[in-house]
This record gives sequence, structure tokens and C-alpha cells, in this order.
Amino acid sequence: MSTIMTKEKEVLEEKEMNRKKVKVQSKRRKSTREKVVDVIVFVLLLAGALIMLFPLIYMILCSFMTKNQILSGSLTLIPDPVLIGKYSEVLSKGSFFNGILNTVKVEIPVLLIGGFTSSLSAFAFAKMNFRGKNGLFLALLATIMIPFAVVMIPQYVLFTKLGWTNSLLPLIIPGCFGNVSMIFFLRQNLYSIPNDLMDAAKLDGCGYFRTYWMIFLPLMKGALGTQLVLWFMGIWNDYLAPTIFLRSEKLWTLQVVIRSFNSYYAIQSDYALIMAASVIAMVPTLLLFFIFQRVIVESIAISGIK
Amino acid sequence: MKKRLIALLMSTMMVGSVLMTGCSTVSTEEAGETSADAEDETTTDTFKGDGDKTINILLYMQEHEKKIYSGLIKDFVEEHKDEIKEVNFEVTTQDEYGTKMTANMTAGDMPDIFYVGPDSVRSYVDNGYVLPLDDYVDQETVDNLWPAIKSAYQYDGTQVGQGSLYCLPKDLSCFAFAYNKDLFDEAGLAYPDPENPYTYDEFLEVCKALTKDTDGDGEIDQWGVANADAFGMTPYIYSNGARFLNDDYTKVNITDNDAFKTAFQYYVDLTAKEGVTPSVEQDTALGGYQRWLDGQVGFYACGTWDVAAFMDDSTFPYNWDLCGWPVGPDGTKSTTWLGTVGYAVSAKTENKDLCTELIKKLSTDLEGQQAVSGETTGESLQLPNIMDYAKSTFKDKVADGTVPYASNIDVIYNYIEGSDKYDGIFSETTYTYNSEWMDVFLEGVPNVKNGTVSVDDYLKEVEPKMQEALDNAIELQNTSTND
Amino acid sequence: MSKTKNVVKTQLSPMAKREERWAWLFIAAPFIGFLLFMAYPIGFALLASGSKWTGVNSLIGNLCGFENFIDILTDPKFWKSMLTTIIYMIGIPLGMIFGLLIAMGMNRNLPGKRIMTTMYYVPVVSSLVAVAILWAWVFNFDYGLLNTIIKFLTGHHGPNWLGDEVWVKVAMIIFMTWKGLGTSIILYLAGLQNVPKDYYEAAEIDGATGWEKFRFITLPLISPVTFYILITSLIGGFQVFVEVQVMTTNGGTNYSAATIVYYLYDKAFSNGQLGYGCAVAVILAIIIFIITAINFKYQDKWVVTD
Repeated sequence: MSTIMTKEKEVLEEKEMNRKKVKVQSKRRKSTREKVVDVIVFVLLLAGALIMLFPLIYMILCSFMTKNQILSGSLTLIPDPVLIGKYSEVLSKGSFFNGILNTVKVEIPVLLIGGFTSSLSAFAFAKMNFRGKNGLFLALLATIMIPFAVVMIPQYVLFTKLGWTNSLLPLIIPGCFGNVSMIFFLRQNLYSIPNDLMDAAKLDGCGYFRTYWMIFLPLMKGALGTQLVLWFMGIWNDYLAPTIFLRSEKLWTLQVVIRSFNSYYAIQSDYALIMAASVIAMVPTLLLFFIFQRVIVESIAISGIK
Repeated sequence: MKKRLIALLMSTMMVGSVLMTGCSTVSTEEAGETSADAEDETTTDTFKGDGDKTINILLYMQEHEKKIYSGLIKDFVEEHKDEIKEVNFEVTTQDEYGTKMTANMTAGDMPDIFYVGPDSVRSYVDNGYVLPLDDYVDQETVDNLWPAIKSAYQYDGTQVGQGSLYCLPKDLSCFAFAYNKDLFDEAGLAYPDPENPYTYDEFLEVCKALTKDTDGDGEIDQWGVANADAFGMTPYIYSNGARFLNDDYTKVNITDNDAFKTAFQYYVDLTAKEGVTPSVEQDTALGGYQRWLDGQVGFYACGTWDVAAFMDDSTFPYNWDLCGWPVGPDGTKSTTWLGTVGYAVSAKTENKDLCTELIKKLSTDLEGQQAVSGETTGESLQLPNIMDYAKSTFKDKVADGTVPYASNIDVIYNYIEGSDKYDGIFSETTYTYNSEWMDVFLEGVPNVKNGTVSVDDYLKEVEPKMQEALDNAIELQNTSTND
Repeated sequence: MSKTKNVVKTQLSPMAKREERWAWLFIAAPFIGFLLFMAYPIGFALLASGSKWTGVNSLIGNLCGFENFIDILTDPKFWKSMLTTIIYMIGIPLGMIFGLLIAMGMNRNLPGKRIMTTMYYVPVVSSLVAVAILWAWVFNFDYGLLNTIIKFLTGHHGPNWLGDEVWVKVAMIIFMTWKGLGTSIILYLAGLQNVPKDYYEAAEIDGATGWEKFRFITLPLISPVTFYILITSLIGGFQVFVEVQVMTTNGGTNYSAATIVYYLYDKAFSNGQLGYGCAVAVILAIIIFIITAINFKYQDKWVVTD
């Protein structure tokens, strides 16, 4: 156990040192030239960010407009009159909160169990030797190459036969077996952790699962966080699978509820209502992203071990 | 971090308040916007009784309709409490409905009650999915349906329009024509006569008088008419007595067809030569529908489902009324297309009597019809399915203003029932397995309208492609069935 | 990698055998998931691809061999939508370059970094239906925001973004790049944190220029992330559909905006040719698989995996 412990300690220490170094570096007085570059970069980034944000602002503005103002030809930005009723209308719809609740019921087991199975197999693919490794990995990737459009009908048949269509299981169970794109990313990320860590663990006779759990899982925490947030967003925004697989309105997820606001004939579509609902649907994800960014981006730093 | 969060929230609120201060704040109701259902209770899609029978329903409809139909189902369960265990009412969107039905058919797990359109009656019946209603629905009910709907759901195994009845209608819609009265007043023109639809020539003259530059900047900003190819082209062609296909819907017939050519040329010229419609380019910028709502065009198509919206002042703040589509030199009647979707009962249901009872209620229950047609709700979503009600009480309620409706409502009745000046038919795509042949035709129409291709060249070029698509559709129609 | 493979093949030590068994156990979950939820649907789709199945009629009773495949390969619309799909992929390198540049800017530890990253992430989080409605307004020929700005800046009328056969592709690329940029940024940001700072310090002592540091340190060290983004974007790029459906009517003027999967939907669900649609999916999956496999084969040339 000793070798591995020291090895891990080394890695963690170096990580820590690196973090300190970064801090020192950022505290170190930057040269005038660097400062000028910083200012330019900052201005450019801010300008870019505002462009990225513009449609959102537009979305918020539209959620306060009347139907006629939204549909009218001329470009208007400022709602006149300002309608505040759409938000209370969205929030007063029982189905809206029910939709959020259902989405959360799907998210939690999928992210917890699916995150575990995905990281475990990513660890095996990146750090362990076995026959057919590359072939099996490509086979796994191949499953996401087939458009959902053609598998959804047979999948529905399958779920009907299993008697799952009256529950959220069609959305939960398949996710628990892992997410290919997540496995892929974690695999790529694990490549930057040196193999000698693995060798040291072997030398110590440390079990494979223990090696994964005690050493590599903490090291891929950041990458795992990034992917979990991406997956979270994917489930949050998915509407095709829930519409096809869920039969009861009580089970509708958030996006299905929002989609039901969007009527077939343009005139009956309540654009302001859709915009208001979309704005409300976005807020939790944005807050989550903002809060988790530290975990995602900063703890991903496993540098200094190359 | 907490501080930053607060800062984020603060800034959002500040942006919000800045926006607010600029203009007056109005609640939804004050602005006259109909809020769908603010006092909506939680979703009730399962209705329980004390019996042992379960009925599953899969339909698509909009929020406000759903409320009405949920009420009907609830009443029905109440009336048959001792028989029914539960009724599951599943509502989806129109886009996903087909996919869900395919999935259900593939899984062999059909709902007991579902929609069938006139275009899919044949394949559904051929494959044994729907129950003939002859033994379950009394003659009185059938006789009180609009003849046009009835024939759409009759099929004898080879031909639609005769034989057993397979569906009761959810609705019957009609694609009529509307005009903006205010623009007529401004131009000092006489309103169209609902008794006598315009001829092609008369219509063109009126459109020319309505097409102008109102703000004097040298650019036309008001047009006689706007046409959406996908829906608004066929009425011109049908009203010249022309059709795309031959009588048994097996051959595309547009090149050796003078009536068709005349009508299509006229339709194209409205844009290309006369300029009384927005150009193709302008049309991509802002669709005819929005221009109509904006008061920029004199005439626009008006489906029965549009009426409620056009009557709503916050959506369409102009005076308007209904009129007929213009009649071509080769035609005798102003002709438009009708639409419908119907309730069908699964052939495999265990509760045939109960299900047919239920669709009868959904389709022809007086109270339900009073609600969807607007007598009790003030918003006309569709015409009543019950003919005697539609022709008596409903018309009175339109006349006395209980149901907000255009006053020339007879135009719609004429189209549905047919008269010496009017006729309504189902679009030809109703009788073919899919509408790909029509899509092929529509794809190139913009190129003809902007003058890139001549009418003759286009028809010659597109006819074989349409025929190929039609042949394909016929082949699919005749594929082996499930039984 | 190939060396180990040979060793494994010739003589598998008990240690290696043990490792292999553990590895197979670790990757079992996604494969079981695959067998349970994908094997049957894929088999079904393969069978249906050889049938004139319409969803209503009998699948087995209408088997037709390779007829669907021949029809597809001789349909000009298929080739047109294939070309469009490939043209849209111009957006992939664009998104990667912008993503990397912005991530590098963020990595300078500027003030407001987290809030700015969140701003860039807004498009990823927002509901596709709502933002597509908004962008359709932005691109509007006469009244759209974009052409209003162009008119203001140049005095000329801007292009017919959604109506013109060429410009609609540009508009779609802009829209998709905007929507996906946030994801590449956070993935690159994660990758950049992996680059040890002392590499740069060492390079600075050697007198390396900024470009040299980028070229010889940053670029190679983030190559696993680049590879991941490239592969997943390619797979996703071949499956673009919803964007086209919500932004254009009927796939754009003369089908100019339609992609392969749009074509698939059009055939399978609008025209009721489900068997044909399955055949399109099979062709598509084969193409994606070949491209992915080629990329994996040649990744050693540029991807640094320790």
C-alpha cells in the first residue's frame, strides 16, 4: 500500500502546489504589456458574452409582450404594454411544477447510478489492459450513431412489453447503464493521468475497484462534474423521448409540458407563454451551472503530474 | 460565492425593473388576452368509476379544447359509474400523434379510442384496426351528421364514400376566404357579395385597387391578397373546375389540362405579373398570415379554426367578414377544401358498446357542441357537428352576438353543404396514401412565382416527378396487410 | 498499445487474466444496457430497412430486399441533404476554434470569469424550441435584428437569411455554432486546466514566443479533449434535425436546408414510409461508423495520450 499512497500523495501535493502556484502567479504583478492584453481580452470576451446573451434578453422581453406585438411585422424590442400575467399563468399551471418534479425524479437516479457505471467503465477503458479494448469501445460508440428516430418505435414496443409505459422507468433505467459520451470524455481525460499511478497500485496489490474508487475517482472528479452537468442539461431539455415513451400526463416531464403550450396553428400559439415558460425552465439550470462551475472547471486541474 | 449569487439576482431584477418603468404595466386580463386557464386544477387525466371496465383514449387537442372534452368524459364516467373502472385520457400534440400511434400498432397495444383522418381510413380499415360503427350508432345520429363528413368515413373495402361508417367526427372544418373591411372602406370599394363570389377578373381588379403605397416612401406596403401555397393555392385551382389528379386518383393530370393551366397561370400571375401579392422574397420575410394580422392585405384565407382568433381584438384589430374564393372562367362554383378528423374505436376493444357510446358523446353531445362551437364559451373553435343545431340555434346565437362570428357565416354553410354557387371537397391528398406528390409540386412553386421558371416549363418538368411519387404512394397503399 | 495486445495474445499471465476479468466486469454495465435496450431496436430497424413497412401494414409481409437502399441512393434529394449535412459541418472547426480562443481568454483569470462563462453557457441551456423561434425573428429578411443592423452599418439591405438557398446554410451554421459554443468552451476550459503551468515557465526560460508556447505545449496537451469534441461533433453533426425543423418550413426553399435526418423524418413520418426511413438510418450509421473508425485509426498522429 505504501507505494501507492506516496504516489497518490505526490499527485495531490503537486496538484495543491500547482494551485498555489497559480495563485502566486495571479498575485504576481503582471507586466504592463500583459495588463494591456488582459484589458483587450476582457473587452472582447465581454462583447462576445453579450452577443451570446442577446437572444435570452430578447426571450425575456417577448415574455412580456402581447401576441399581436410579437407577431407584428415591425421589429420591436420594448414590450408595450408590459404584460406580467404570463409568468403567473405558467406558475399557476399545476402541470408545470409537476413537470419539474418528474424531471427531477428522472435526473437523480440516472445521474447517480449512470455517473458511477460510466466512470467505472471509463476507468477500465483508459487504464486497464484487456483483449478487444478498442473494438469494444468503438462498438459502444456505434450505439450513438443510429438516429433516435428509428430506434424509438421498437424501444417503445419493448417498454410496452415490459409494462413500463405507465411509469418513468423508460427514461430512468436505460440511463442507469451509463452514457457513452460520458465514458468517452472520461477516458480521454484519464489519459492525462500518468500510468505509473496505476502500476504503483498494482505493485501494492491494491484491488482494481479500490484503485478506481480511492485514487482515480477523486482524480476525475472535475471531468465527471462537467459531464454530469452536461448530462443533466440533456435530460432537462429532452422532449422527444419523454413525449413518445410517457403515456400519462401525470408523468410528463418539464419540456413536454412546455411543448404542450405550443399549439399547432401559429395563431393559437401563445408565444409569450412559451417564452415565459422557457425563461423559468432555464433559471434552475443556469444557477446550477454557475454554482458548480468551481467544481467543474477548477477541480479538474490534475496538472503537474506529467 | 453567496455575494455573487446575490449580485446576479440583483442585476436580473434591476434589468427587470428598468424595463418596467418605461411603460405601464398591465395584467394579462386587462389587455384582453385570453389566458387559457389560470385557475387550472391539477391535471386530471384518469376518471374512475366503480365498475370493472377500462378504456384508454389517445387523442391530440389543444389546452382549451381539452378542458371541454375532459368535462364530457367525466360526465360519461358518472353516467356509467357501475360499469367503468377507469378511463385514461391521454392527450398528445398533433406532431407526435402519428408516431405514437405507429408505436402502439407495432406494440399491438392499441388504445380503445383514437383519431382517424379521412386520409387514413383505408389503411386502418384494411389492416383491421377499426371497428365498423353500423351496429352501434343509431340512424338518427348518423342522419344528423353533415353529409360531407359522413362520406369521408364510409368505406366498403375498395372505395371511400360508401359502405360502413367507421368514425364519428371530432370536427368539420372549412377553408373559407376573408376580407379586411377597413381596407375596403379606405379604398372606397364595395364589399364582396357573399351570394355571388368574384370571377377571376373581378377579383384581380379589386386586388389592384387595394394594392398601394400607403406611406408614400415609394414602396408598396399594402396588397390585395396574400397566398400561402400549401393551403391557399388549391381553392383557386378547384374554383376553376380543375384537379391535380384524374378521377380515380391514379394519374397526375396537369400538363394536358387547360383548366388547370389557366388556374395555375392566374395564381402565379397574381404575384409575378400583377404584383397584387407580396413577392416571394417578402413572403419569406413575413408570412401572409402575419401581414393579414397586421392589416397589410385585403384578402386572406380563413379556416373555421381561425375565426375565434380573428374575432379577438387584441389579435386582429380590424373589421372583417367572410366571402367566397374567386371563380375561374372554366369553373362554375367557388370551391374550397374541407377538413375533418374523426373518433374511431379499436376493433380489438373489449368494450365495444361503451366505447361507441363514449365517442357518440364526444362527437354529438349537445352540451359539448355548444361549448366547442362557442355558444357557452364565447370562443368558436369549430362548427357544430350536429346539423340541426348548427342550422338553427347556433345560427341564432351568431346572429344575436352570443357567439362572436363573422356575419357572412352562410359562406361556410354553403361550402359545406354545396349550393349552386359554392362547393366544398376534400383535398385530393385525402385519397392517396401520402401527400408526397403534392409536396413535390409545391416545392418549385416559389420559382414560378418569382418568374425564374415559366408555367409551361414547370408543369412539364414536375409532372413525371409527381407521378413517380404518386405511384409510390399507390404501391404503399396496396402493400400486404396485417390480417 | 499494439505491443500489449501481442503480449496478451501470446501468453496471458495470471495477473493479466485477473486484470482482464475485472476490466470486463467494469465495462459490463454499458454493454448489458446495450443488449437490453439497443440490440432489439437495432435488429428491428435492420429488418425494417428491408421492408415496405408503413407502420400500419405488415412488416414481414412486405419484405423487399435491398429495394429501399437502391431507391435511396438514386434519390437526388438524399444526395442533396447529404451535401447540406456536410456543409453544416463547417461549423465544427469554427466552434472548436472559437471555443478554444474563448477558453484561453477565460483562463487568464480575468475578473468576472465565472459569470462570463455562465453567459456563454446560456444558449446551451435554453430550450431549443424557444431559441429557434427567436433566431427565426433575428434572421427575418425585412424586420429582423440582423438585417436592421446591416442596413444601419452599410446602408444596404442584408441577405434573405432563411429564404435564400445559400444564405440559409450560413444562417443555420451561425445558429448551431451559437448554440453549441458553450459546451466546447467548458470542455476546453477543463482541458486547459490540465496543462501544467511549469511547462510554460520552462518554455519561457528557453525564450519561447507566445505562438510557440501555444503550438508546442497547449495544443498537444489538450489534444485528447480536441479529439473528443471532434468525434462527438461529427456524430452529432450527422444527426442534425430539430434545428432544421424548427428554423425552416419544409426544409427550406427547394429543400436547401434539409439534412439527412430531416430527410429521414420526412420520409418516415410525413410520408409514412417507415421501412425506407430505417434504411436511411442504416446508411447513415455506416457512414458515421466508417468516419469515426478512420479517426480512431489515425489519432496516434496527433492525439497525445501519454
